[in-house]
Amino acid sequence: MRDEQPIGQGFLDEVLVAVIVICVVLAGVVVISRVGIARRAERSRQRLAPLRADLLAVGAGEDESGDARRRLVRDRTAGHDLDRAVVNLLTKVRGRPAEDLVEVLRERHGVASALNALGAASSVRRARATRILGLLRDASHTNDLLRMLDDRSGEVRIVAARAIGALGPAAGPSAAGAVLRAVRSRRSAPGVPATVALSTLTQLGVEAEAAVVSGLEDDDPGVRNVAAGVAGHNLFLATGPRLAQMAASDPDHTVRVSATEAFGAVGRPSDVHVIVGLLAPSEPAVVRRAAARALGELGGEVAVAGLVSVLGDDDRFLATSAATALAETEAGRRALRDLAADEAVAPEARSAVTGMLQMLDLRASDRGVV
Amino acid sequence: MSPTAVQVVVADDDDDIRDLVELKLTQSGYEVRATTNGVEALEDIRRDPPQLAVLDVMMPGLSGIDVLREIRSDESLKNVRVVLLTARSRDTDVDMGFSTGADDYLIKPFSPRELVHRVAALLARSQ
Repeated sequence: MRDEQPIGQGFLDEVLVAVIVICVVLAGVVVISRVGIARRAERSRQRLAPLRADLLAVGAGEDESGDARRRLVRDRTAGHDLDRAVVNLLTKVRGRPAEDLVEVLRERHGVASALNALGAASSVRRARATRILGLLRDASHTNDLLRMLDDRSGEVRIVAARAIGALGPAAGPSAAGAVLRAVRSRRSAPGVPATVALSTLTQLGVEAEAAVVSGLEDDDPGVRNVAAGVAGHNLFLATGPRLAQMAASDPDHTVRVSATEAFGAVGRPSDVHVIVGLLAPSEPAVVRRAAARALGELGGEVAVAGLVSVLGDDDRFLATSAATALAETEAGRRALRDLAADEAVAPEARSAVTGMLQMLDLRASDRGVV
Repeated sequence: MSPTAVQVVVADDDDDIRDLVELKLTQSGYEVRATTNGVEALEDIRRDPPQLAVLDVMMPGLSGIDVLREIRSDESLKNVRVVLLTARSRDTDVDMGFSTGADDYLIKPFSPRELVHRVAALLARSQ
């Protein structure tokens, strides 16, 4: 075994001094950076001050004569500060004021600048330009945004997906297909997150239906997962039979959960036995819990009986989900009250029932206060 | 109903939104008192109860929901109508707003014109 060398006090002192110096330098950098940001913000505010009233008049829809809009278009003193201020306001208003702000941006060549910046080397500039195109809510830029779904930066792809969502149904069915494909991982980089894709496709409304039907058959479980979520959210009734198949037998548990919940939204009461079957103890816990939530959506006598059957289950999370689902419908609430009055109910089931009834009482008293 | 002399408190920590709402409501004839946070808004409302308050939900100090809860638990403020103006658009957020006692709920980005229509309709209904 090697002899260990004692660490000298001098060395420790040097390390301590070095650490202190590094901390002081870092603190100095932070302070200088913050002062710089504050100064830039103040300069920007000063440059915009003479234009503030015009900006607000356009943003509030109080520029009937168009004078304020024309002054903003003609201004050459505030430069990019004014463009940024217009973009900021665009995120906050909609309707006619938003259209007027877009017009100001367009006439100040802000839109042309954004289109040029889509090819910038900096991913921050590309993301900012993509966001601006989305804020315009102009479907003529759909192809530009679709191109950004293939950007090398994951952040830019996310901004592009959100921007396409902002276009709404006007983006068209091909945009829906492109967003769904962007969920796939590529070149070892993750795809657009499921939550972002789900939100975008939901905003595309009925235009997403063809892409969703096709996505339910995709090889990629991430794509199937998003497609199932959108099918349920947008109430694509025609997907019901396929969702039932996926809920029962998709090889991916996450997809089964999404399909089960979606089926709860689009299924018919006559399909309820499919979901009740997913409450079986042999099914994965996440699928059983999703089935309980779906039965709460579907409702009906068979659903209530299925939910009551798992109130005493060893999986207490499932039991709570079932009690919550029962509380969603009048028939379910009646069943809960009947069970509370039945002395033969097992103690595990009783705890779920009384817990939910107390919750319902609490909600009712809250409403009473209001 | 003429909006003349109708008092409205507007609370939002976003300068743009606060100024836009203040300008739009003022141009429509309301007397607007604007504040930047929930604490000041509640103090203002208690000191001189307005007919209506337009509250942002996410504000420093007291949130719009907190302010609304205080208003609804105070008998002397029972006639104050409240509109929540917020970026929180999920169903659960809307449920929370109405179940706490909001009279209306508007999601950002918002239409200033729609806000004025809703305020006018709300005040007309509460006559």
